[in-house]
Amino acid sequence: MTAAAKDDPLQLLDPLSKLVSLFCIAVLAMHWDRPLPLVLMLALLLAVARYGAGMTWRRLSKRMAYIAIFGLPLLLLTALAAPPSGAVLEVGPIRLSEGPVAYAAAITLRMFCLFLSSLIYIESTDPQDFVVMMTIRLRLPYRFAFGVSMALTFLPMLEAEGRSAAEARKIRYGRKPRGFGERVENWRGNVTAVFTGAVRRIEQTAGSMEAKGFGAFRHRTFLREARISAGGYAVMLLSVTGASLLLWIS
Amino acid sequence: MDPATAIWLENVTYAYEQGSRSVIDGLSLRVRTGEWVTVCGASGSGKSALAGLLSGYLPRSGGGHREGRIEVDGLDPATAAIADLASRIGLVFQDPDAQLVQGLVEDEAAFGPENLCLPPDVIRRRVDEALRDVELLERRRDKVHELSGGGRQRAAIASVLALEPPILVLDEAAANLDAGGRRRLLALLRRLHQAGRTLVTVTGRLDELALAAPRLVVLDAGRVVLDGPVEPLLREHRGRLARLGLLPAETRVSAAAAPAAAALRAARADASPPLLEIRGLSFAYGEGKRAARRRSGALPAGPCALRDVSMRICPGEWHILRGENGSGKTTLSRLILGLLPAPAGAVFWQGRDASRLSVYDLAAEIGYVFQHPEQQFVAAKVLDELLFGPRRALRLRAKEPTPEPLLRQAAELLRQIGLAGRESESPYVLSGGEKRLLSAAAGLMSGKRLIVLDEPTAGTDYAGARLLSRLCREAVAQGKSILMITHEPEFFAGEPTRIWTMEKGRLREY
Repeated sequence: MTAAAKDDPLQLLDPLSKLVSLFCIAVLAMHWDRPLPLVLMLALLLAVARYGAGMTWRRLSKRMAYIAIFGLPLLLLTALAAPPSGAVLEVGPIRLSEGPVAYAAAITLRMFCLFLSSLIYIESTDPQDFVVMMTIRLRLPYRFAFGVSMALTFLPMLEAEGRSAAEARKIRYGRKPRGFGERVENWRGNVTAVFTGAVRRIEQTAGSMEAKGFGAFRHRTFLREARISAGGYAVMLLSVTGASLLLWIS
Repeated sequence: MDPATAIWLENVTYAYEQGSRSVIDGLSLRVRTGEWVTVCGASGSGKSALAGLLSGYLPRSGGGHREGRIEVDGLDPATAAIADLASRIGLVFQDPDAQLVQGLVEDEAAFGPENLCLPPDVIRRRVDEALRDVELLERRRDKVHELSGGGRQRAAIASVLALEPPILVLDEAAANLDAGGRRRLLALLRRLHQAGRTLVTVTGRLDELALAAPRLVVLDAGRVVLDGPVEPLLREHRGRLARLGLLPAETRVSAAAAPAAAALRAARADASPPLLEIRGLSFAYGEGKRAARRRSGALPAGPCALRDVSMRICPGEWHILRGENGSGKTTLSRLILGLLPAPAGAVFWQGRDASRLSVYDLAAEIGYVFQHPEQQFVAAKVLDELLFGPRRALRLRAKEPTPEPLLRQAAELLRQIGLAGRESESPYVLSGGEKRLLSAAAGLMSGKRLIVLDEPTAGTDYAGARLLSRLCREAVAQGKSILMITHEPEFFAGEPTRIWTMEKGRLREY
């Protein structure tokens, strides 16, 4: 989750309203098993990510490329493994029928939609706002809400530490690893560095949180307010009504 | 406990693991309420362990085994309730990243008071005051991890100040601060002391900040060896304090050595082409690799981290790059190493455009000693860490033995940096100063032609800094070049250096 300056529309929206929308999107994505509505949903989500959450196309494409690493094998395996039905398409020795391809496309698109909607939520939500909203409005234990928030805050931090560790190794190695053995050794060194760094960081942060009184009482106060604007209520209403309508239509 | 006593330790012993060497060894100490005490000791003297024991971090979170009695405002920090302890004592560590838990500066300062269930209006007042004290009020909505090292340290201090603890322990809290930051911290400590807070400043050097405290406690091997008012202690024990590495030495380099080295350097510089040349380098973050490569000489579109920077480094030269926190020093070093995309036609390594060279190409001959030593450790043992670079340069396989001369050189280097007999220990268990010296020694032993050292003296004692200075001098005498990034160039006064100052992304000599 990021805590950037609140300039984009979704960043101005409270975490609870966005969470309700996220839930509605997830229900619809899970319900639809045809590619067309999921393609439309993905297009809508891309527009929201760019113009609602302020993500650049470059950043978006990087994140989508990451999910494609998992999505494309899923598409191929599902298309090949599902029972054949409909018109047959022959590509060299491979025979694909329309039904499995459409089903595989839907499954893959669903994956993209779920990933992208979660990413939009993470990108446009301040972790502290999330904690305040979950604790005050949803009455979740603050330790739990902080746990989720800290885990999400730690991910980019650990990513940065992993990058630093990899850079340090590159410099100390002084040349590209040669052969399988050196590559494995290099990879093992990087993983070990990130792991030890993560353990150290978690231990230090836990100690620091405790030194500042975290966990001392059953409840805690917040400087921030858990305010839901009229726009937030409208988004929630629109999301629930829209999703119900679409479910009923389809 | 006497109510006038804020801190009381009686015959305290502490080891990081049960059965291992005690870092605190039978230590007894009493600090009165409202007193300001500097606890000073060389690297590995047990001062950080003492700070951890006082705050309760040790052994509660950091583990280890403690014996003896400790009372902080009447409570044993090892067993006291979290809320009681948090409202009585605050600890600021050397590494700001180890204590920042929130995203924004304001959230960081509010975190403690929120945990203590204070009303929002009280939290707001405390946050405002704490951020004003560390001069971060204007940046309250900034992300803490986007601040410079000094800025993050000030945020960490604010997060503790907002708890308004009557006892404040600062463990090398000024280590990452530049001269301006240290002055501001000193002024703040004076204000807090006048307001009646009990202050314990833990340090490895008796500098202006340390000597501002009326009382000095000196640690050696986990014991109190000197304790008393600052002035008489300095007068009567100057020699001993210097031997412990807590005071700067009287002379650093012999008068004859510096001109001779300078003459040698000048002769080398005349005879050989530059190793590294930077011509009119400007750089802005957020620009892609392609944009950086296309541009040559033109100023970037965004706010510049570096503007029109030019410098040359020849073989056998020692350059010092100084500047305030966030001035662009680390950005420049990362561009030199290819860790950031250098614009075309701006950075040249041995005449070749660095924008066309990979990190591996550059790292074959450029070494980098990271600001945080843990980031660069690659081996499980101290000796292996030191030998990693030379073995790599000799292309030795894991099972091939290290040549005898190299082993002798490593043993001598370990003796010099005070790690003889600890060859088999993990680099991670060394003290902060020892880790720093090991990482610098490993960098200087690597056989690379240019070594970049990023803030190598942060948090080290004077003995460590002197040792580092000597290692660098020897490396330069062997024809290696050094680029040292530091906000403490005074440690290298008298050495054959060229000093550059970075100010808001602009570089000028001296």
